Amino acid sequence: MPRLCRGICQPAERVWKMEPKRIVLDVDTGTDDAIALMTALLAPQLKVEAICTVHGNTTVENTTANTLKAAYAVGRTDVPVYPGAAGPMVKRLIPSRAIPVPEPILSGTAQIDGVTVAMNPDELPLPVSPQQAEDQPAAVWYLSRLRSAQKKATIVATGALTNLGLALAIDPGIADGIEEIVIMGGGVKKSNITASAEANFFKDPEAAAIVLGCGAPITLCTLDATHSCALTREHELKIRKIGTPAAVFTANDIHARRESYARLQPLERAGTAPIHDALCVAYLLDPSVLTQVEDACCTVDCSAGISEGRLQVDTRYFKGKCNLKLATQADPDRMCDILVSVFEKAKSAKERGKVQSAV
Amino acid sequence: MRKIILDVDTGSDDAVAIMAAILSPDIQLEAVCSVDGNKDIDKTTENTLRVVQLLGSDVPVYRGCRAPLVKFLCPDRLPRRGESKPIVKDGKVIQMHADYLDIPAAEIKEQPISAPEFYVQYLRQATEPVTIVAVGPLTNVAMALMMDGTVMDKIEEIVIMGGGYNITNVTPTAEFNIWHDPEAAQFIVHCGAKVTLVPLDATHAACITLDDCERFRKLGTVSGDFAAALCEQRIAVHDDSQPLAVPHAAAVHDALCIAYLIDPTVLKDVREVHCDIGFRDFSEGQTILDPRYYTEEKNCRFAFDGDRFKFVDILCDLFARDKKSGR
Amino acid sequence: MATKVILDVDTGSDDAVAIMTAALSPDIDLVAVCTVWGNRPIENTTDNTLRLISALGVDVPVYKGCDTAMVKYLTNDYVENKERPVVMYNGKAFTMHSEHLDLPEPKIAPQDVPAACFYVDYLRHAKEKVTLIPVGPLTNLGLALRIAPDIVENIEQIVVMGGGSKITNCNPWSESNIWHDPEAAQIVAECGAKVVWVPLDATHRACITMDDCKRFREIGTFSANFAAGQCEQRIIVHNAQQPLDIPDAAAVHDALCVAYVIDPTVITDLRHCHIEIGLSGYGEGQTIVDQRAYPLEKNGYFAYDADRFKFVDILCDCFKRDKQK
Repeated sequence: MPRLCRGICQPAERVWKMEPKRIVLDVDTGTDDAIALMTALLAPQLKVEAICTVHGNTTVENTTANTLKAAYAVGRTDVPVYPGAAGPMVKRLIPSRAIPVPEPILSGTAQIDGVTVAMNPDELPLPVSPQQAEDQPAAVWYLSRLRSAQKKATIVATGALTNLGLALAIDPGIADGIEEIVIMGGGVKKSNITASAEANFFKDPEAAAIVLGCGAPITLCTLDATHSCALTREHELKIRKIGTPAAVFTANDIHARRESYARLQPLERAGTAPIHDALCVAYLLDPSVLTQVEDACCTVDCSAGISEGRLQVDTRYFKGKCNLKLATQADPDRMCDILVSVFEKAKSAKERGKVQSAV
Repeated sequence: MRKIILDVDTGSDDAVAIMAAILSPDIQLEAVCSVDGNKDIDKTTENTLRVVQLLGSDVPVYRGCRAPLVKFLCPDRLPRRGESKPIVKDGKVIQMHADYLDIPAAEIKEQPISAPEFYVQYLRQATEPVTIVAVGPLTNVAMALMMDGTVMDKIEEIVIMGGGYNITNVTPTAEFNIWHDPEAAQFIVHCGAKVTLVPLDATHAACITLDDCERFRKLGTVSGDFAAALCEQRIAVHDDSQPLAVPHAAAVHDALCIAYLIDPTVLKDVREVHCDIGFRDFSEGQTILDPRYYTEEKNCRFAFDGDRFKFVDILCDLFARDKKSGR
Repeated sequence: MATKVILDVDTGSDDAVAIMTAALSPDIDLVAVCTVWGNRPIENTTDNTLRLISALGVDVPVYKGCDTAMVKYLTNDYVENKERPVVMYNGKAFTMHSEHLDLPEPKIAPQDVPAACFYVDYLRHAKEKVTLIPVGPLTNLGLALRIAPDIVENIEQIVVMGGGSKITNCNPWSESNIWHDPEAAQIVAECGAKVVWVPLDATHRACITMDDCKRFREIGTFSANFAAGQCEQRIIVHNAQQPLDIPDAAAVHDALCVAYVIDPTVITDLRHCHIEIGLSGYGEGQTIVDQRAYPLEKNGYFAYDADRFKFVDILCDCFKRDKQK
């Protein structure tokens, strides 16, 4: 190989040869979870060790089936899927904490080529996977994985935090086995499910409070961050053009969300939609996608009443010890580029593979 | 003569209590205050005026608070009671408390100031001690004593219809009056005045039977007749949904407090206790008594039993004094 | 056939008596002992449990459990528990539960798996139904039921030492085990398995007297002597702080649950009721029994009375079987 070429190739080669980051996904799939999941499975920089599912967007039975489907859609049936908690740790014990939530906020639909696409369907419109979920519950798996002397794990949690909450309640020491937890949850100036709370935190405030206080490094992608990097029609078209199943699924979801948000909760930039959960994976691939990140001291309100599930940020000058990196802004173009890059590379790798196998 | 102020959410048993207080020669009824409770404040005020008017009394009526102190500020504490099935008897719907009492609409008027304002003004000026008899939620009384703590020494006793130890009604743990405004109740039981609680344990023991209603009617007075009708209505509802130990009987809670002022021995097994009120969740509105050997400081008196025969005798004596004859 | 039992303890003086009774009873097949925080921190309760199992010379695995409540301490919205003072008696200090049981260092170690995970794994794969006897805070079981609600299918019954309707000990409304982790207790209350609550109302009735302790000592085995020591210590503290109706007597709560599994007639007034647990403020940790004429759905059994003579007989029978002198 000519020296010059080698010199140019070096940085890229180093990236490729670097051992991929080992991550665990904890999801309530969910269309935006599905996009996060497909991106993570397709990106060579990441090695998805396991996927845990949890209640949230829909029942855990559905989120587990959807997770298997999403992995299968990108050709994967080898990543173990651990079914997680069916409900919150304690919240449902108290009848009065089941504050009714306006449904339409979370369920929008749109027409694409005459087909109705839902923003948060109970069952994802994807082929059923031949893969079965594991027997072991997610929380039990976390304990065995994180207590063992294996390499530390990075956890991407984009649903209610019940599984990690349960595992940490059983053994708080497992926090030492965690490299980082990247969470989609909470909002500083934004909320969605109630006047004060974001849905993932609201669905299990106690678990969220346990996780935020566990001592492991945390990056919190808030609703403020995901809304600030809402994707546009141009982004949608750019992704759709790639034409792979993952790209089309993503483009369809952006479309459904753009229409639903315009109707139900219009954003500052008209015609855009946030793909919340995918931002967490995008951050792992390129941290610069988050454009405003600060150290903060945060917890989650566990009281019944109007502030239940609210992300509490200590804004005092003499605030408590910082326990996480609070992300409140992100770059939509960068986010789109990251997704495009992953989908494109996966496509060309696949084509290379085809050519090779043809040879 | 014992001076009293009566605080009511009229209400069927409140009506019996008001009549008893007006008619008693041992009691000087200074005022009647209405409060939000069994029904909304417009209805409890109107019903109170109707009863006062029915007996031709000139006792002033003050409109009280229209909601509990803080409870309704919290969405998780809004009442979620299931609608109770209406009881239909002889083609008529019977409730524990009708929206409006079945007596002529009030032509007399309520006083121009609110009940808490009245309490403060009255107590500041009082030269003799007064007893407060609160048979609805404790919102007015708590509000007044929060506004001015200096009037405490004017209060001889606060007699409360509320709470329950072995018996509850609105939830597995709570009696309605306390449950409706738990913070007000907690404030009152800890306010330092002599507090006597007349809970469901006493009022269910001192029940009124259909035979007792007959006795009321035989008196031939307006108050006797009206009390009989109210008690019969309550008996129908009790029989249907919370039958008592004595068959065909009803608790007429609020009137027992008035009877107690006339003859304290109508309450039996009155014990000094440490009492706290539960605020949230399953314990909301519960009167929690400390049963331990190493109890916390005792702050009120709690009646565990009542004498139903004595209770009816007292009521009969009072209704017999009514100068207005019945049908 | 012996009943398969898993004990969950915060050893603990009365827990110690419960463990010995369960380990020695021919009617009980003790599958495992889980530990939990409660009377003492988890390190102590686990160490004490291991010491006792070692001293008894039985082969029962011990699983270390949780070190604090599921969620209670996440907020400052809980009522502080007042520690009761140490009791001085004959110049010696006594507490209801010593920090360390007066036994040699343990010869065995706890299993690797946490108690809650053990519950999930064992119950999911159990071939026959198992009786659970949790006599400390219900944290382990609460978490296990949240992780895998389906485990109730393999639970024969849950016999809980906890709560009190007319008797409390922790504060005006609650008994310690339930107060320590009310949410976990409520998860158990509504889990769908048969739940028998053995509250203070029953355990104070089934008290153990100084004469009973003498009876234990006459048996002369290790367990009988050790139980006598624990009960005597409890009687001293009861006499000073919460004297019972019968003089010179102590409740030995946890052992009554084990006795009930051996012979259900030791509980003499068991009522089918709606039971729920208060979760906050005044009322936190209270066992609420719906006593109305129109109660909510009945979800458990609440013990109101017990036979103290039968209780002591059951304990004596078990201690007699002990081979350690």
